[in-house]
Amino acid sequence: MITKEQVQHIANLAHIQLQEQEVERFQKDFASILEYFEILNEVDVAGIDPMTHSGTEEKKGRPAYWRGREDKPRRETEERRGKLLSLFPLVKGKFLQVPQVPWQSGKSTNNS
Amino acid sequence: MAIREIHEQLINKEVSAIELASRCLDRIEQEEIHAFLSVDRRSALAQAKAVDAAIANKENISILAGIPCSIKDAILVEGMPCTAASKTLEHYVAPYEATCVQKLRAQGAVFLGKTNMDEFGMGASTENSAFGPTRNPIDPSRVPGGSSGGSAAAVAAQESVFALGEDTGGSIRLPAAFCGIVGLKPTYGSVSRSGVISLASSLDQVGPFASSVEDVKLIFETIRGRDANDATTVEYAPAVSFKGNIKNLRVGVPQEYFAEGLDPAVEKAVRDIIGKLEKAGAKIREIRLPHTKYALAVYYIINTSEASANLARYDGMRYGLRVPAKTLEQSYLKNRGEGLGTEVKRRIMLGTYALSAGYYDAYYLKAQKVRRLLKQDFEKAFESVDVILGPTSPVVPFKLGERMTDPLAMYLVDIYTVPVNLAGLPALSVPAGSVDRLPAGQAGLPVGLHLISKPFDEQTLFETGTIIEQIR
Repeated sequence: MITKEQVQHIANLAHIQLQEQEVERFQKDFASILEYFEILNEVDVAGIDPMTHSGTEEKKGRPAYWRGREDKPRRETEERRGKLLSLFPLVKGKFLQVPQVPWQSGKSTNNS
Repeated sequence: MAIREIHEQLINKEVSAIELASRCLDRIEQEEIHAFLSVDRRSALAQAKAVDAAIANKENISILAGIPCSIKDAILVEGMPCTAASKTLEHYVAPYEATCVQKLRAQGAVFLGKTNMDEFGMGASTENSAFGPTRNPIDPSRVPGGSSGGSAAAVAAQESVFALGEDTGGSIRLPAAFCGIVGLKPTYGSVSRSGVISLASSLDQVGPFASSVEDVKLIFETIRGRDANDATTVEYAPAVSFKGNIKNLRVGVPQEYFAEGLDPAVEKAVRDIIGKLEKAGAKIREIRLPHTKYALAVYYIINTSEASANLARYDGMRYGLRVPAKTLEQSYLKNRGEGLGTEVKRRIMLGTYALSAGYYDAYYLKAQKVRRLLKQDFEKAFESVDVILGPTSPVVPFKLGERMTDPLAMYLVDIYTVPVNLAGLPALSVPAGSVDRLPAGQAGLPVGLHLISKPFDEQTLFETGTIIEQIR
C-alpha cells in the first residue's frame, strides 16, 4: 500500500504541487493501478532482453533505423527566433527571464 | 463522398474549393459536439481560393488539392494555436510546421482548424480536455473515444473530409471505431513525428481518419516516408504478404481477443464479419497470442515512464503557464500543479514512480522484457497468417462521465489496441456494423473491427479493409 508521504515524495520528484484532496485521490488511484501491475509477476522473463524501442528490425541490438548524426548547432533565422521569443512567458530584451535559481533563501527575486 | 469523387467534381467545376471549405466551416459553426478547439476561417478560405485559381488557370492539381481537413491539436500547423488540450499550452502558437502537415500542404489540402483531444493524448474518451469534452455525433450523450476524439467526430459529422490524429495506444483506432469511420495507426517509423507533441516516443505514430479505406490509404501514402528531422523514420518499403484473391487471404483470430470483458453484442458483430469473410473464401485460423493479458500493464508502465520524461519540458519557463513565484523551484511546482490536468499529473507521477530508485527493475525493466514477449507472439502468429482480426474495443461508445472516476476502467477500453503500439505494428479500424442500444428509429452504435498486419504491410490492411467494406 502506497502512503500519502510516498505520493507527496513522487509529486516533489515530478515537480508538481498537489492539493490535499489530490494527494488522497492519487493515493487511492495508485493503489489500484499498482495492484493491477502485479500481474506481471506471473511472467518468466529469464533470458529475455528488454525491448527499448519499436524499431521492427534490429541490428546488433539497435533498431535498424538507428543512424547517428553530428550534433552541431545551427543558426535560426531572425523570423524563427522572433516566433520562439514571442512564446516566452517573460522576456527581457532578447533574453528569457526566469525566477532566481538558488532556492534555499526566499530573500531577493527579479521576478514575480 | 470519397476524395476521388470530390476531386473529379473540382476539376469538372461542379463545385469550387471555396464552396467545399465554406460548407465545412458552416457545419463547424453550427455543431454542438465541440470537435474543434480552434478554427481559422480566413486562412482556410484563402487556401481554397488559391486552389480555385489553379483550376481556373487549367493547372494540374493534386488529388488532395482543395480537400478540407482538420488536424489534431497535438500536431503543429504553423501560425495556428497548438494546445494539446492543455491549459499550460493555452496560448501557444505553432512556430513551425509538422512534417506530416507540410506534406499535406504541399498537395494543396485545406486546413480548417485544430481538433479536440484528451490532454496530451492521455485518455480514451476526449473528456480529459482542459477545454471541455467532444461528444459523439451519433449520440451526443456518449463519448467519441479518445484521445483523437475531435478528429474522428469532425469526420463523422462531415465537418471535415479527412483528419490527422495521433495514436500512442489506440488514440486513432478507438475514436474511429466509436464514430463509425476508418482510422489507421501506421507502422512505427513510417510517418515522421517531427512537429508532433510527444506523449510516449517509442509508441507515438501519426495517422489518418476518413470515411473509407481508400481515402485513408491516400492520406497515408502522402504523409509517410523518411524525414531528416525524425531519426526513427525509414524509407517506406512495403512488405506485402497478401494481394488480390480473397481465397489466398489467411485471417488469424486470436482467442485472447474474445475473452472476458467483451460486450457480447460487439462480439456478435465481429463474428458476423468473420463468417462473411469465410463464406467469401478467406481462410480463418484460430491463433494464440498468449501474452495479451499482460499488455495493458506493460503499456501503462512504458507510457507513463516515457511521458514523465517527455512532459518534464512543461515547466512554464520557455512557454506555457507561468505562475508568479519567488524561486525557480516554487515556480516549477506551481506552473505544473496549476497548468496540468488530473490524468496528466496521474501519469507523470506513475511514470516517475516506475523509474525511481528501487522500483526501476520491478516496473520499467520488467515491462520492457514482457514487451519483447508480446512482439514475439505477433512474429510467431504472422508465420501462418496475413492479418489478425478482432474487435477494436471491448465496448461500444459509453456515456460521458461513466468512466471518469475510475482510471483503470478507462484504461481497459484500450485493451485490444495497446499491443500493436508496443510491437510497432500497423493496424486499421474499419466499421463492422452496429449494435442496437438506442431508442427505436435511431441508428445503432458503431462497432469497430481491428485489423493488424506485419510491419510495413499496410497494403494488406487496406485490401482486407476494402473487402470488409464490400461484404458487411
